[in-house]
Amino acid sequence: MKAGKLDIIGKSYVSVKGGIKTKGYNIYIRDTMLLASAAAQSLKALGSMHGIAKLELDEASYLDMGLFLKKEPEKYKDYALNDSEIVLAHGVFVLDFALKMGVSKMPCSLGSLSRLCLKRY
Amino acid sequence: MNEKVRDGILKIPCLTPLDLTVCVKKELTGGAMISVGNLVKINHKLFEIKDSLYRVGLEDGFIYDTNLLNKRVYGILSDHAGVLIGGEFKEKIRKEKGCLSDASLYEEYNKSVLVTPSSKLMYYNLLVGVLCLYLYVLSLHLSRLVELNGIDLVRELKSDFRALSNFFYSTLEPSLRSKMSKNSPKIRQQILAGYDTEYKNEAYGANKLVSAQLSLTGNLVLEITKRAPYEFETLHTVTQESLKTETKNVLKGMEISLEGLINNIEESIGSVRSLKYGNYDELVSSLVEKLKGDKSITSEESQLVKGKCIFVTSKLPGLRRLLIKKDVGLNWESLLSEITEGSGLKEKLDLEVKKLSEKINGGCEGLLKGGCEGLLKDSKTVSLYEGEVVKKSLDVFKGSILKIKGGDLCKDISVKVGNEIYLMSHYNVADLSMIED
Repeated sequence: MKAGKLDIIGKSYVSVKGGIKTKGYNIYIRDTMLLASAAAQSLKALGSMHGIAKLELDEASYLDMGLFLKKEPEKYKDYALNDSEIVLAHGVFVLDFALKMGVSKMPCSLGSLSRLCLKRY
Repeated sequence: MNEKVRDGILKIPCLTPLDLTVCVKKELTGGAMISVGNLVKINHKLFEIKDSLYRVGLEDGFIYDTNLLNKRVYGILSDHAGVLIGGEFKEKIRKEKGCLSDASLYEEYNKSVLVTPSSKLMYYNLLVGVLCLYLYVLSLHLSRLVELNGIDLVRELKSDFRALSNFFYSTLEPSLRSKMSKNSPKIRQQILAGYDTEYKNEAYGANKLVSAQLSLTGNLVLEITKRAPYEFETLHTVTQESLKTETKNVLKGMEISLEGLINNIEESIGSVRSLKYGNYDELVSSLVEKLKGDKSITSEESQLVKGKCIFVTSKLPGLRRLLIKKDVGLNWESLLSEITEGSGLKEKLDLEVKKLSEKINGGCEGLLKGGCEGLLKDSKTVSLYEGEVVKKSLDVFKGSILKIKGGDLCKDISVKVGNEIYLMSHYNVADLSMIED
């Protein structure tokens, strides 16, 4: 990965200046932490916002995910994919919101999104 | 200037607006245009200097002269006062004092309207800008006239025509120039990827990747920029964002006919665009209307660029990919390949491009009838677009091209299809560090 193209905001990697150009694609890195309000920073809170419940596991499974995969592959699959679904749902929500503000690109943070809101209204 | 060419220019019916014709006639018959600064040097073969034709205000070339204290400025303002002040003020003075010459009109104007030096400077700059615009339109018409009449010019003279045009273009305000440029439509295949990883903690600060998960969807984004009406604005030098200026309010205070001035500028811009791009604007407008009427496409006006419309197709059904580390060996390349090729999303989006192309070109007849009515009336047959709509380039990284068929009188518009991926994670410091490279 071209790490030089990455910027850091808070504790997150984002591509602020432009996408990372690889094989004809412009790849933009986004962190949903920066796109979530301070009151709903956890993935669980984000999930509940979009109607997706975050699956919970017992402590032992958290400690050794490899073992959990071997033992219960189906449950592991559901658990693992659930998180990425929440991230996607929030990303789609933010992108749609940005579109309503007249921008077709996903902002990096809630700050840039609020700037768009202020400009429109 | 060659008499034949000059007479020909004055007869061009499309030299609109009327004020422009008046203005240009003044310049040509007065021989003033020949004195425009560097023009004489650049285009010495097109125009010749006649000392006797010099007028006050045009000796050294007015384009660069913004010194209001200089008497020459007075000459320029008075010459064009009749054209630019116009409207209500003209009528008011005429009722009181009868018919006056342009110079006297300007005298009266100066007496009756309180104008600050800074307002005068703004007006002067604007006036110079408008004159440059007129001259640019004229130079384009001149080239077209030579082309249409088949006037055989030596190569050097042709270059002079081009240089003349370029010179006037370079003198235009950046905000005016932006109105004359053609912003081709843009299309992007947008892939949204929710990315997460699971890992096993082996020691403090050492984690071993177990799997990576991807949730994917995608859509197309089409951006079309229509011609936006002219406003008094300036461009931000870095961001190119347009910023409104106070010119309008200042001119109102100076009792200058704004409506006429803006109409003149608008018509001149229209004239330039029509000479340069044919009926591109009509085609784009009708395309925008057509897409706005499509309920399956979300449309929104851009906030950053005036006249830009953003169209977004509905999202593709979500896909889920679980990548077990031992199966794929996760690095940047393999992750990217999974997102695009492995998930089959790229193919689906290519299909979406094809569908969009059919939507645009399939109803081409309606599009042309609606959008290019005036221009198509002389054309007996309108050939519809047939054949390949999505052309795959030989180079796999170059992507696809969508063609918007213009019809007989419109040039086809080729739109390069761009690709973008949003790779999103929650607290991505943990997830991105799992990628090997």
